[in-house]
Amino acid sequence: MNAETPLIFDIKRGSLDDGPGIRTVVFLKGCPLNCSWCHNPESINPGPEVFYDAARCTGCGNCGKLCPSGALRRVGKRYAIRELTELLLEDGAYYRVSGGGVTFSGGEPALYMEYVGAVAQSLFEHGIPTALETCGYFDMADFGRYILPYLTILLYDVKLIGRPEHIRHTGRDNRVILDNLRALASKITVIPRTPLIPGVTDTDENLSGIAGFLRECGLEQAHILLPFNGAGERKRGLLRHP
Amino acid sequence: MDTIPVFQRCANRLLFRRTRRNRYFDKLTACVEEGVTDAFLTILLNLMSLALLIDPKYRRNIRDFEAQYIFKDKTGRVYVTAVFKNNKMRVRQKKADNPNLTLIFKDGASLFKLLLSGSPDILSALLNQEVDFTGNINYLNKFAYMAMHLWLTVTGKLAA
Amino acid sequence: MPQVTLPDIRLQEYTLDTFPLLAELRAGLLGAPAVICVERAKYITEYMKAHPDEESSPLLFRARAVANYLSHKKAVFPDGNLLPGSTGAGLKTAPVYPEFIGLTIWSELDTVSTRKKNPQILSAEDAEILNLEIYPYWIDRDVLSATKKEFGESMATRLLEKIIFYISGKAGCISHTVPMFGRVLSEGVSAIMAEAEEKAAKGGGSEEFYTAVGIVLEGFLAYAARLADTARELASKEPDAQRKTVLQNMADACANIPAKPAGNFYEAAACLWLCLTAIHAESINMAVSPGRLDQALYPYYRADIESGKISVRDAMEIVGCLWLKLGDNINLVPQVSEELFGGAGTAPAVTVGGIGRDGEDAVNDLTYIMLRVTELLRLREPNMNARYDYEKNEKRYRDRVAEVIAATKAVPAFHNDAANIRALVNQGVALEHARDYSIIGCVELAVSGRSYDASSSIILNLSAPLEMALYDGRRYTTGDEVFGPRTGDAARFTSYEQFQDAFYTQTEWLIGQAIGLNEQMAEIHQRMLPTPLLSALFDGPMESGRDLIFGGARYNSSGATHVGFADAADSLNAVRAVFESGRYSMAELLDAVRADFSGYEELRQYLLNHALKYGTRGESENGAARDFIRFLYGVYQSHTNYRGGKYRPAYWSMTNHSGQGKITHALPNGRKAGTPFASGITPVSNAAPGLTECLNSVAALGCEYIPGSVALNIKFTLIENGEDVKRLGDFVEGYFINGGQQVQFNIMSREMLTEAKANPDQYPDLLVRVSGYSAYFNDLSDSMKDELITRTEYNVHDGRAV
Repeated sequence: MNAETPLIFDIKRGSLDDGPGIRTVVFLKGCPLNCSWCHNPESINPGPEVFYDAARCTGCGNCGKLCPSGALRRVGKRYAIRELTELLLEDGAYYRVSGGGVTFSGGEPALYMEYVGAVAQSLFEHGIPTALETCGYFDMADFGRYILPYLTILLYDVKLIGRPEHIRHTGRDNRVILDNLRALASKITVIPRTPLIPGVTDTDENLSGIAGFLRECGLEQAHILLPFNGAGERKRGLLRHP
Repeated sequence: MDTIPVFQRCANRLLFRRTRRNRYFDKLTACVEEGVTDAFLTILLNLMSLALLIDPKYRRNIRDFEAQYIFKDKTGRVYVTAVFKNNKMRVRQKKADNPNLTLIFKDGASLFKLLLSGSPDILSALLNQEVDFTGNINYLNKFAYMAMHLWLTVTGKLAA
Repeated sequence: MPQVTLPDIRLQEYTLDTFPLLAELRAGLLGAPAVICVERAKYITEYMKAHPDEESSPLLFRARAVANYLSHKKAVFPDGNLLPGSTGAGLKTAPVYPEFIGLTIWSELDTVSTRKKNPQILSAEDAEILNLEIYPYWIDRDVLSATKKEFGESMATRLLEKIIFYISGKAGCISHTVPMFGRVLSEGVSAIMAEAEEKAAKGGGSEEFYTAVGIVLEGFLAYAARLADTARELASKEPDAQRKTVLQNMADACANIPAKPAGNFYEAAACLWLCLTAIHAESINMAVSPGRLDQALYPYYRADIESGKISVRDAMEIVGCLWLKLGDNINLVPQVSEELFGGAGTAPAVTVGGIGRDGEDAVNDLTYIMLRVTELLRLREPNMNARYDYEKNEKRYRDRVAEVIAATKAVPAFHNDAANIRALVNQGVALEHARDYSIIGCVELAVSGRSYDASSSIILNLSAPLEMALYDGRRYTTGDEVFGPRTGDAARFTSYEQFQDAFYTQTEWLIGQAIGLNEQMAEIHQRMLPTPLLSALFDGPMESGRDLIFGGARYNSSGATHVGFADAADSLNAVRAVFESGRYSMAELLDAVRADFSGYEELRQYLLNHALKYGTRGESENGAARDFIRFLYGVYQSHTNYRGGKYRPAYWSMTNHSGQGKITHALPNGRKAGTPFASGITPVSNAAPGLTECLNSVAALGCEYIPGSVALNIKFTLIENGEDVKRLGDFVEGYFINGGQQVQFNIMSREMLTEAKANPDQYPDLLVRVSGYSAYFNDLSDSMKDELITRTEYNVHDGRAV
């Protein structure tokens, strides 16, 4: 388990995706998987990185300390727990009015159990519902202890049902993922999701396999298929350092 | 002289004024067509004063109108006063006290733009430092109307 | 009976096809040319020229001059509208008010009919009347000339005439107010005349005022009587049976109202409109706002519906006719004003919804009828405003307003009851009166019929004090001329605080100049232009025996609005960033600004990317905006006006932010020369990438400090369906809970607006919100069009700038 303060690479406020109502989505940097299609490549490495946008660069040569044009920018910022909570509470009125709340996303927010749990608890105490988007690759005991009590909705990725395929495309075994999902299905509102990656996850075999597994868990009705988002390519380009 | 009847004298004078007016009008047109110079103001004022003498309809503009205008450019090279009194307009070079309006302009071109361009953009003229004024702006508006009306009349562009 | 009984509050069964008359009137009005009407100027001036001896008693003189006009005013029925009466002697007329700015088109008399942009038709005969008979009388008498004559030329008048410092509303109007119609509707003008007569006879020092009220109201009744006679005569000759009935109805109505109480919904609407035409006769048809019509007319609607006298359809048709009448008069617009105010209507603001004086939900069937009529007609007038109390009003009302916004792409504007009532109570208004507030003109708050707010007294350009702080009392465009105090060479400033001090000094000085001039002009108003007619339609003057402009209203204030707020705040932030950079100097910043950033792109990029930006949370916490708002509030509130009320700041800019931006040099926030300022209270375009952050930043400014309210422009690219409508409503409500006062929307994308600019013929009556009012896109200047095109646009789905 990771006790340090994570890097947050984006905070999206006023979002209407990623859960019900108006939401703030917190993107934490670092992911145990390394999916070949990842649309947030900057989210994989838990350490600091730099984005470089050649289109904005004025070639002034001051890159070292401060890039005036913002072509060069560090990806990720650390927020103390209280600081993040206060920021998230600023949009409390919108959450309440719309039935929205806060969504933790990533990367993999469950990489930072204590941190995410503390923020979720504080939001819970303010009556703000929280959701968490996860790849499911985490320690179940820690999750149950730190995060689960304060969580309203779990958005749970089931990408590939076959073990070898999962290992090939994400770099990890999916047994933990499936076991965790089975265990959580009855404990919290779970929305299983499958990104439709052409030729990888959108095969009949994979989708029917996943459907079968979800049926076992009683989650078949909630299943959501996500259309593929090609944004990853441009972002990978930005990660090329100058 | 005595042999010329009175009506003939009047007619001659009128004819002479008409000729002068036409000459000023030609000068003004030339001035406008060939590039406005400092002469523009004097030509315009003289044309106006003649038109006021000749044309009773146009003269109604200055019925009981008493006012003094100073027109000057920023360099001080041009300084003209126009005095309206007793239903007449007089153009002079000498100083006037208590003018109703003092118009300060950059050059003849800016004055032309303000008065006769057809879409007088006073805002940009003021802001581009092309003109400035002290006094009562209504007098500027009145003068601008008289100038434009004259211009449209002599060029035959006045809408029926 | 509950106030909402409509089975379908959206009234979807009624479309424009249901109302062939409204469709025809609408097409007629939009297609009609704008016409300059000299009738008013003629009768007023004739009377005054003939009675120079009366000048010494201004109240009576004014009353008689206005009565002379009203009693000669032609009764015209220029189209098939069901309501009698018109502001001018025809359809879509601009009356001439030589007392105010009527002389500004003198130089354009021969060209105004044919100018390219928004021509106004003036016949040769009328031009001659203006030139020879009317204008010569006023040449030394209009408000500005009289002020200069009385008080002499001063720095304050010079600043006004330079246009780029401030604009003084008093030169142009006595207006921007919401009259009280309740008494005329329920008791009739005769009752007010009887009271005036009785009080005049009693003596006590106010005889002149009460006599004036009697005189001017008699003129009003003479006009109504002429309408009745003419309508009857026309009816007797009318071959078309339907039109004959309409004319007969108008004749019957005018035989009753406004003298006697309105007997039904139709008469109430007609009476209200006639009152407005009478007010237009006395003062100017500029932002004279009808106020809460869904409240004022509701008793008549309800009685007629319950007794079966009218149907919902009938009521909608009458409301539609009223909307069209409100738009059938316009203002005289000289060429110069096209840039600054281009596309403006007369901004009669109608307010619906919200809570009542008892603090309870005031939304009723008429509210929904007015919303549906607005949705169907999609007209510039009236300027529609929906009040929303998130605790008392129903969600379905909120979402219905949002739906109308989505359908019209622009109207109504949303106003927050909680914040606005708080702002008014903070100004000393009694709670039950504050709850009855309505909108004046653009966004300003009035205590309906009880407060005289002259809310457009000052339009202050904040880029002026900003430049004067940068250039030691000068402005960039006016070269060496020193206007403001010498606050020192900014290049030598050694701290941000020093610059802020200089800026605040210049701002306070400029406000002082503007207020000083406003007070002088007010004295001229009092001497020349009392308002006995408007005073009779107000709460206060009839009790106190004092005309409105002598402070007769129950509540008094003067309003100042601001142009370039966000650019000024961000410029302060930019100066701070320069001092904090350790890399750039103030001298370098000044050079860069002077050079319009040419050769200083690196510094400009630094300012754009690293200085705090109003509209983001970082700025909200540590930036200049909040302090600046509080500072301005303090300065204004320290001044008391000639009526004993306080000055109130507001933040709406009509199209001034585009016009003034076009003629303003570069600013420290990285804004280049000649580009528009941000509008109203709206953050600079593209400075606020997150919608909730933007809304929160505006709300955090604090409604207590903005008693005149704000215009916040938000552009959404697309509102597709019911879900999106609800989201729009959710965003509004969250913003309101956080304390935001007002928000208005444009639902249109950059592409669509670019397309509309390129192909005006295909978007003949595209309605847009500028800053505070609506306009037809095609009427706007190119720079204002560009401002709309480049405004930050948000995606309703992720709340982010596109």
